[in-house]
Amino acid sequence: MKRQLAAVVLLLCAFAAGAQQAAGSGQDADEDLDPRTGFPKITAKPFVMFDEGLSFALVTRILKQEGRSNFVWQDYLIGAHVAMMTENIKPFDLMLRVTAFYPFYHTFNGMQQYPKQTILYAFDLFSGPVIQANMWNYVRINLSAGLHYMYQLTDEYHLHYLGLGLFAGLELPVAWHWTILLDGTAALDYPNLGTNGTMQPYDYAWQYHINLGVRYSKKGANQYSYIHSKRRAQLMAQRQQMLREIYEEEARRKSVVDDGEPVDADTADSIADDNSTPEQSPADQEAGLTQEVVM
Amino acid sequence: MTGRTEMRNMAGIARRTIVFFAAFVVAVLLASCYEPSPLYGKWTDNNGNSISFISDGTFVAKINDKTDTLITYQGDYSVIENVLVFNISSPSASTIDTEWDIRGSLLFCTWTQGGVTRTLTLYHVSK
Repeated sequence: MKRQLAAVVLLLCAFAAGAQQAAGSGQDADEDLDPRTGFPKITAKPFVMFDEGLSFALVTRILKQEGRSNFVWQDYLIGAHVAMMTENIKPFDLMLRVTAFYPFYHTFNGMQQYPKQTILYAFDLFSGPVIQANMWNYVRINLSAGLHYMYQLTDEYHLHYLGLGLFAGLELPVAWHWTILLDGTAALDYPNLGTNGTMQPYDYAWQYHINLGVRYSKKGANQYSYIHSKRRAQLMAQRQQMLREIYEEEARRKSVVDDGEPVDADTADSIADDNSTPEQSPADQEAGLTQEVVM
Repeated sequence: MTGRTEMRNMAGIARRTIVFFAAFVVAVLLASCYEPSPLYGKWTDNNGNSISFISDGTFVAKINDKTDTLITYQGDYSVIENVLVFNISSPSASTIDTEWDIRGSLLFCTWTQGGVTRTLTLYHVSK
């Protein structure tokens, strides 16, 4: 019995050791090492950022006529939006924007129209892949083309628009976590999916949107911003100094082992500068210093 | 020194951004105060018919009757999409509904009074 028990224990130990070794070798294979430093490369993890703000929209619908001017309806809407944007997803980041509108001004062929219902509204949705142009540090440009949908309640009809939209926006990094977003959308839609489809089908419909929003994101912190925080600068300097010391020590030890010659301070500094984005420490989290992602 | 210059540049960018936004908001507010209308002004033809649309929602019309005598009408008007409604208060209360169309500086409408319908093509002669 004792022999059997010992055999089982030995077998389990051997299995555990084998599994651990296999896991260790798998981890080594998975790790992508930086050729300069020999340390694992730091990869930017995907995350989601949210922004909110005000929106303005101009919706145009046209019914073509023969022998007279076309019928042109225009609605001016104001509202609020919530948007979600992913970061560090390859090959494109994605955005999703939902807007609630209140139509405050209506025209027909340039003449103001007065709605009978007080409570009129619209909901808008835009989604598409985002290309971010990293030309400047202090102004970032977002471009997108995607799917556009809008529901609008008018006095007569439930309108459903479905089409394609183009999006262009500016990101203005105001502070470490705060970003102002100014963007516009132009969409060309098919407007006859609603109750107007049989009675009053429009020939063309398009709309323009202007959005002014603000984003507060800890994960998507701005590396460059208009307003600098003294505390943040001090913490960054401290962290830089700490890293420089670690890398100096590491490089010195490595060079002694390899060549027997010590590494000069400049080389160690440059290595430390290149690797100034380590894993987030609890102290950094407390100080609001999340892992930096160069955008 | 470089850091201080950079800070100064950033402050300049921030100031310019704020001024830009303020100017944009003021421009939008000012633009929204004015209500343009393609009907405003005086429209007339070579037969003496004329209609003046005023921004307070009233009108004055001089239209030839069936004996080609110019009659002056006054009242207020409203537009419901492609229908123009004249609510006449003088010389006698009545209502005229007509389709309207503006193409360039020409106003097309009809005027039905006393069983006579006149098709009017009026030129925009003053704003």
